[in-house]
Amino acid sequence: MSRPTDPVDQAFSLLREDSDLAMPDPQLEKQLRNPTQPRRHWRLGWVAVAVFAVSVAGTGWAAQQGLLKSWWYRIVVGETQIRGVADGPGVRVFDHELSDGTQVRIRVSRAAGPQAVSRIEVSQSNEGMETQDVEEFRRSEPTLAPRSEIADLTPLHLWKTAQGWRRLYIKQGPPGSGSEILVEALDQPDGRCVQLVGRLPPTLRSLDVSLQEQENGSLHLILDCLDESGRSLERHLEIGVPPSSPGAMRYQSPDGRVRVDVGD
Amino acid sequence: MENPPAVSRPELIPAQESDLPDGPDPRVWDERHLVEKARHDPEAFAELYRRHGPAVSRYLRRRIGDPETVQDLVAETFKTAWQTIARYRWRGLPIRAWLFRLATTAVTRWLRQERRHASTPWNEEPAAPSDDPDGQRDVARAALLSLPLAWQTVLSLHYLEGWSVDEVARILGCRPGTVKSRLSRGREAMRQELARKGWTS
Repeated sequence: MSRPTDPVDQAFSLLREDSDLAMPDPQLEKQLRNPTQPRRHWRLGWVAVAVFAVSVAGTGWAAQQGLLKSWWYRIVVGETQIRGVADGPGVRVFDHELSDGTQVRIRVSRAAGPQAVSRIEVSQSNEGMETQDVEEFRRSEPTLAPRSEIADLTPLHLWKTAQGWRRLYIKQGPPGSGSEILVEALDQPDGRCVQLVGRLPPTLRSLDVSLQEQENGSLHLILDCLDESGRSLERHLEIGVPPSSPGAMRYQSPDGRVRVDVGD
Repeated sequence: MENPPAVSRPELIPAQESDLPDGPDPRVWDERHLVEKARHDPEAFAELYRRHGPAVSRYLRRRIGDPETVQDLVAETFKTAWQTIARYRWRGLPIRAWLFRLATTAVTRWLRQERRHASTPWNEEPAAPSDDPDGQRDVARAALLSLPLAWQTVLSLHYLEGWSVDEVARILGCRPGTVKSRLSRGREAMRQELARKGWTS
């Protein structure tokens, strides 16, 4: 097909092409549109429908999907404080300029569905330097992670906080993707809460973990690792106050100028 | 002086049985039946989602780009649909048009919020267009997103989604003349914005 000559038509044509790439399998879509045709290609469609139908069943569907659940947030940036309540999944983005000219963008999001709960992303930009921190909380079934998913050499760390028992473990990702450092709240009434507190690059292998509890309740984590050449090194990680409930989360920037709290 | 004739809103005319083709169009009957069922049957609603979710998602993706936000807005659209489908009345307009109306409301609300909060170096101008289609697409989307929301909406529904002027009018609940005027002014604004961003044919 020839390219349009009008710039506006060119622009729309490009935007249409982009989404065309994301279109579902046209054969499957055709089959779904016309159920009288042979159902050779319905298998995938039925899987999708069945999965969705299971989640839809009953009027609690929307609640189950977290669509109706409300959550609150409190953001402190420098001298400014913002509070709000939101219903269901969504994204809140706040931009702020600190007195020294540092630009801060805070993105707080709540995803739909019982698995992904909340995410805080904080970007700071100053004179061309940009940093980003991400805090992510997930909800999962009230069962322990299968042992097979936990790195073999990770000792199990359990400790008790004012909010209940916590467990720390390292979960190996697919080959080449590194591993995730996770803190899990074990005794939550409505499901296990797993907090992603850090990541190890694929070039590092963790051998041992030790924890030091700080006076303010946060934890100092020391990871003994081996790099690719077999050299031993330490990684340090500061973990904030452990989550008190699924969906509750807290972020504080290293300089303390940005604080974000989210809760159910 | 005579009273001016009452102006009727074009989309609010219920379809009569006689409006339907003589030979039953299985797609129309199937869709109507499904919508009726979906009012109280979650599985039928799931089938509606299965049928129209991808189209709604594509529409939002073309307008917004960011996949996470698109996911949220699709969820919001179907949440609203789930909550209000009991009140939905068949008016001869495809259910997809109604879902597009809900999606348009969701995306408009989100864009308004974004604009309120976006004062900001992160809404940086994309780099000048190059031969790279992705780069050009970013510029095209940025140009579209810089237009007034009403213009963005009609341009997207008409040029990106292929709805006719009459259909856009029925989706938005305005007159076809209004749609035509917004299309014309929106196109011109889009042309200027593309030129300002250094778009080359």
